[in-house]
Amino acid sequence: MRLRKEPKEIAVLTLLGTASLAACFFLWGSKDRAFGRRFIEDQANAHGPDGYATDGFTYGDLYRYAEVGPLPRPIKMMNDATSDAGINDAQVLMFGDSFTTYGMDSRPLPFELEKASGIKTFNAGAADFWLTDYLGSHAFDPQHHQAKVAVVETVERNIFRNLDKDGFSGPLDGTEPASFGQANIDQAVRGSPLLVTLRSWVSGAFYQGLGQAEVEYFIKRNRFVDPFRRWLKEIAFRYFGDLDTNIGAYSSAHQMFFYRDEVEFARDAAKLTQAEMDRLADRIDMAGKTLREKYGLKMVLAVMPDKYTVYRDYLPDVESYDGFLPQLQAALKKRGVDYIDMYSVERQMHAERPDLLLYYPSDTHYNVIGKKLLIDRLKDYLQ
Amino acid sequence: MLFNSLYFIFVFFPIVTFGYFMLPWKWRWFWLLAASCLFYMFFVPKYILILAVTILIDYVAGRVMESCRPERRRMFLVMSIVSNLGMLFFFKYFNFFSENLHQAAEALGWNMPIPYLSIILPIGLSFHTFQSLSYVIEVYRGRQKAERHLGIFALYVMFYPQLVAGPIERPQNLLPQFHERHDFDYAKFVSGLQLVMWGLFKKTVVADRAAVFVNQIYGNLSAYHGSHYLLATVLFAFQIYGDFSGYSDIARGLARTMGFELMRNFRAPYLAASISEFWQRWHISLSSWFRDYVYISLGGNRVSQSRNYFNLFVTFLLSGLWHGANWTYVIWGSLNGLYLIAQKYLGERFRVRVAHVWAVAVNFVLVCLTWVFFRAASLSDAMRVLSSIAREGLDWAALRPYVLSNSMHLTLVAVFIGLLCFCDWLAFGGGAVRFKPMRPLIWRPALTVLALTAVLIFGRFANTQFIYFQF
Repeated sequence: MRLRKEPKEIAVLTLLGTASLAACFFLWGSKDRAFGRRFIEDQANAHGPDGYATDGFTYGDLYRYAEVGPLPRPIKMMNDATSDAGINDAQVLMFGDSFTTYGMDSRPLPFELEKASGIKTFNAGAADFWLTDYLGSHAFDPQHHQAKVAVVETVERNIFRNLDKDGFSGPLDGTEPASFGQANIDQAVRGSPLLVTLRSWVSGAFYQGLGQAEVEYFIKRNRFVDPFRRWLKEIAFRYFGDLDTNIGAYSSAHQMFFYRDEVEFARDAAKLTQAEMDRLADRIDMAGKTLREKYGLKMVLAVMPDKYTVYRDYLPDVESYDGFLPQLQAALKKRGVDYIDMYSVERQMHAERPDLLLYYPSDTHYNVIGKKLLIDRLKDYLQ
Repeated sequence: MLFNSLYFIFVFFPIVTFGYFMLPWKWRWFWLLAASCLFYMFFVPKYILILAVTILIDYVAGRVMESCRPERRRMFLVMSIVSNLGMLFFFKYFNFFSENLHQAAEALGWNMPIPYLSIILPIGLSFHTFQSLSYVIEVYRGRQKAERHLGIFALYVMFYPQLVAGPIERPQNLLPQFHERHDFDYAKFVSGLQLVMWGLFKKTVVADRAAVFVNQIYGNLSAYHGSHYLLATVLFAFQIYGDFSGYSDIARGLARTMGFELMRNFRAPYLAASISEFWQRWHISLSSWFRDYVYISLGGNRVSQSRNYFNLFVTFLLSGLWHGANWTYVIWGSLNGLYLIAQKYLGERFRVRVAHVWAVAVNFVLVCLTWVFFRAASLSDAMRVLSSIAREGLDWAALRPYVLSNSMHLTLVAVFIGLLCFCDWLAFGGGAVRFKPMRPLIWRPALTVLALTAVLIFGRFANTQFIYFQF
């Protein structure tokens, strides 16, 4: 290389060389986990690129997006591995999404339910709600099982993704529905747009390509970059109210984050027609009948309201709530489907004891008080 | 790999650029080619084979055309065009044509099975196909010597800064630069970085912030009203401008850091006072490609008036189809063609003098009208948006709750769009003349610092694709 003897050129080239060395460091740190871990700033808040806590603690899934403000409060993750053992001895089979799978400051819901009620409960974990598939493909014995009840638990915003399926035995159109909001409703109720599928393929290939997710994670989280990055986020939040796009709303008075998915769901669900609501209720009813006829199980549905549904009054200028859950519950009642009305329970609790929070401010999930309310209702039902 | 990803900014760019300057000159083409291959393979690795086939066909076609008898040159040109466009058709348009053929057959009462290909469109296929075609056509026309070095030719098609979304370069501009020696040049390097920074500002601060609202509203039309559609359409105008011109600026800046000059793709298009001026300022590399290889080949304006109108319309229709295999793009292109015909027709018959600012405003409204078709997922969605806007107009009462609940984000977007417009005005509008003496001294460093600050604090680095990657 022919270098001109100008100091500023040498200085810039030196900077470029240093940046290249830093690039090699980022590559090495992301590929060699043992080496990289030494440079991750805060072990207590360290998550893998997939978002899970690495040392048993989390500050909340919403805090993971926001990373600002005085919100971080450690939540102890207490997950129990699920296995097929005991599936035929249990009196209750519990299917649920993350509310059931994760134990936050307590063990996952089925374990706590068993402890409180004394009724042997099997945790089917996040069975992706292909219930009949699950029972058909696991060690479940249709002739000799002891189970009487199947508890199906889901959070409100995922209800279409989780429950609007053909007898809960497989996707409607051969594709995995999207995860939230209108896309969720669109895909589950009205079909799968080709563009969404294509995009997910493209982005899937992109992320898998050469471990890009790991490298980006290490670049963001290493102890040299991370403080600076957080400082910038803090500035954007403090002075401009700017937050990650995954945070749909923020209550500054109560320091509470709301997930974008639930805010969008509340708005989108308001546009559902009665026919679409009836279709969802019919699907749930059909699944209940399938479980009863095929396995002799009585299904009870527990829909956990979104945090936004319970605490929307904490937000100014909030768009009105359409009463999605009351409408759904009315449709289920008409069909004779058993359900646990957590909507009324939580709204009442919020009105009577606003000091007792039912959800974590920095997380989408309910806390131990919210869980206790659900367990009490389930216990009453089962007994 | 995306230009706005941390991987690119902190890993790929420093290693490739530093390596480029450290290597002996004779190895640099290989280094850039290897980096470009890696860059492309981050998307769908196997599609590198499509590029390899295109490169080989056009390399051979160029060499053969130069050496064979004149009467056989056309045959090789046709072979090259057919293979390039065939590939484009197969990956991009097969399903579109197949579906439409099926619908037409159904309408006639014929029962025709519909063959559907489960394939992903290779990233940037339309761009590198057109760049490669421009080489073959220029060699055929005798305006460009065939490239002898296969590696250099491959680099011409695959040069990573402009591989997936242009600018669509001409061989006369880019090929000679690969044969020239580029030593490290401080001024070019700094100017390149400034351009990259400005591009990142446009993409991560303007486009990706506007996209939040645009996607929200256009992704769920039933939940909103005409006023929301109006807001989303105006925001989309700036989203697509920030997104695509941001990409072009980053591409030019990256190339410039290594001493290469790519063509300018945008010149403040929303300051245009007419549709023809808009197309001289928007996606210049594509519009000049269509002008040179389609419009002029059809006869351009040296034909009868009606034929000239036909040429204009066909050129824009094809330009619309180039953007995507969807009727919305066809309508978008056709509408632009009709605008130009109307402008030409009216311009020849009436002499109306309008204040420049009004001409710019009216032109912006007309352009926004076309963006509705560009953004909408289907023709019915586009019609729904347009009819709602026409029916309801700007109804503040309907829009108020949405604006209030998103006031901070919308204010930020408005401020950044304002800054972008101001800079465009400084560079290409009235400000270019008014502030010319102080521009390089004050504005450029000040704006670079401002852009850097905005990118650091407000930039969205959520791996959002550039819109034009899908073409």
